Amino acid sequence: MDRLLQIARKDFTDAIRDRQLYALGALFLLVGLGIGYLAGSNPDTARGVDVPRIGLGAMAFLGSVAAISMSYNQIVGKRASGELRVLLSLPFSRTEVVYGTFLGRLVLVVAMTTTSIAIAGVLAAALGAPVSASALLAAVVFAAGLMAVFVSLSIGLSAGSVNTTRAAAGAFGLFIVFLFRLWEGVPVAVRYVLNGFSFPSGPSPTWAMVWRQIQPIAAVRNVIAGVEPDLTVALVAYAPGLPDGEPYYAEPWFGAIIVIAWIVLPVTLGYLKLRTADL
Amino acid sequence: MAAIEISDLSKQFGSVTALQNLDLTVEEGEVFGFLGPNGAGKSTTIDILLNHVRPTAGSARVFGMDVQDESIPVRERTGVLPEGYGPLGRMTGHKHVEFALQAKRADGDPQAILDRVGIAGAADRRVEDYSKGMKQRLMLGMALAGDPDLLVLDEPTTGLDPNGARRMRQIVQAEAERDTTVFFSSHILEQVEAVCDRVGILNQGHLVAVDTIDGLRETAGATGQIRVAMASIPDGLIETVQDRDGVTSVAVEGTTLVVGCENAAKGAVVSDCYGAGIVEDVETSEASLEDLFVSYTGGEN
Repeated sequence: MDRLLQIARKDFTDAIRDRQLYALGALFLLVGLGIGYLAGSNPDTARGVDVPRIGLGAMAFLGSVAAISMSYNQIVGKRASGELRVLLSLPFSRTEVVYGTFLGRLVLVVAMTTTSIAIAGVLAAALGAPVSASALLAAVVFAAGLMAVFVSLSIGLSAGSVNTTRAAAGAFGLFIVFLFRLWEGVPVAVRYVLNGFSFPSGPSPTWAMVWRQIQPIAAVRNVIAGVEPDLTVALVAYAPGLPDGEPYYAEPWFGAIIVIAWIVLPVTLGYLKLRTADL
Repeated sequence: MAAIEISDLSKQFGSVTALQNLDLTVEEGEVFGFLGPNGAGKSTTIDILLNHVRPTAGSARVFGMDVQDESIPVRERTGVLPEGYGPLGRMTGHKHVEFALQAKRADGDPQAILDRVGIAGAADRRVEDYSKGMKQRLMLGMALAGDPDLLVLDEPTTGLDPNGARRMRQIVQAEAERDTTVFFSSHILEQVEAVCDRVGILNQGHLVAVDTIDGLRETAGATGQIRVAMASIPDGLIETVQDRDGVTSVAVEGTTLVVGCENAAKGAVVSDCYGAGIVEDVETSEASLEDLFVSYTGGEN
């Protein structure tokens, strides 16, 4: 465990030494200040849930983009540069390298999103606008959960890629599939093919509905619906809507299982690929 | 217990055979030189010892521990200067050594280690800005961190200037004196010759010779070369010489006859030449280790 933490700490401090990340950090800061200022400039009409909602919405996009772009090269890049050979010549296991890097990046990205949301809340409150502390806390926690999904996807991708070109292509794929919602196009395409290459009519079958709800941002949203319903609207741009009739696959508990799976599985699959690879 | 025990080890990369049925034992406290041309399989062997690469068949043990199942304990006791290394993030030289010490769970003064490898002055500079030779020295320093029982050095003198290469040798010798086993690979014979107790020569994935340096010298010394400069090469002389016992090769350079043969056959070759024509000069030499290395690794051309 101490060696895993050593890798995580190194990954985190590598970022601190990286000047390019300062620009990204400044962007998070500005976004936080901007949201706080906007909410704070209309203190009379603002509601307590505004800052958390807008903050979470902003982090869903900015945070996810940052999580992917800061993580996708973290392992395959070390493989290309020879750093991985040095780490694995020291008594580190591949498990420690992959999960340590995951942890290091996660802490980094979560620190950025949390700071951004917290600054927005503090500034808005200082300007006299109401800020719901519980909603703000929920926004921070769910933003962190979402970051964990995207860091897991990107680190898994990085660990499973043989070279940096493929990892970069994969990272682009992550943007398209999850942030630009290609995910929801999959059942449409499948049904189109199954229907003899013509668009099907009638309601979506259950499997297509389930598919849409296990999209990670939708799953996070479904958990939020059970905790802080006013916040769900923050993710409306990134996830398909809630289905009617409260089916089990849109329930918060189901969403929680799906979110955990999205955090655990991608990084683990990448690790399994790397575990058997010849360097 | 042997420091390294490799038995029947093979590695196949797709259709390429990198190693074939390698058997090798390195005793504790020994300095073992692993020689061979580029691509002979030296790095593959080292990569298998470190579990960077998995063998297709066979097994390897370090201090009795299986290199796959017990890779971490193996690497806890091993200091490595790997091939194709890269700096760790954006850390300084000092931080690199500190990091290695921490990974080895060892106490030690990073500055003293940097001083030992001769880059104490660059301790606070970022390693990405180091020259090739400085990086090489740093990697050696990281390998030394935690006083390992086994040092595995893959082509350690690559990129080093003569001073650096000398310091490398001194460090290897000093480590050997405190009973560290040293396993180091090189494609350059002199570096191995100077420090190694035993040498293994690898060629195209096969171990073609394992012997002490003295043993190899003896093998090499038993054969030699003789050059006979003549006014002209008479007809039939080449055939006569070729038929002598102990003669392995005959070549003509201008009007000089170059004969590779056992030392004992040299006299007969010279007398053949005197009998056949006018001899202007005779030069004889024993084969060097270099020649032997070249003959083992098929690099005559």
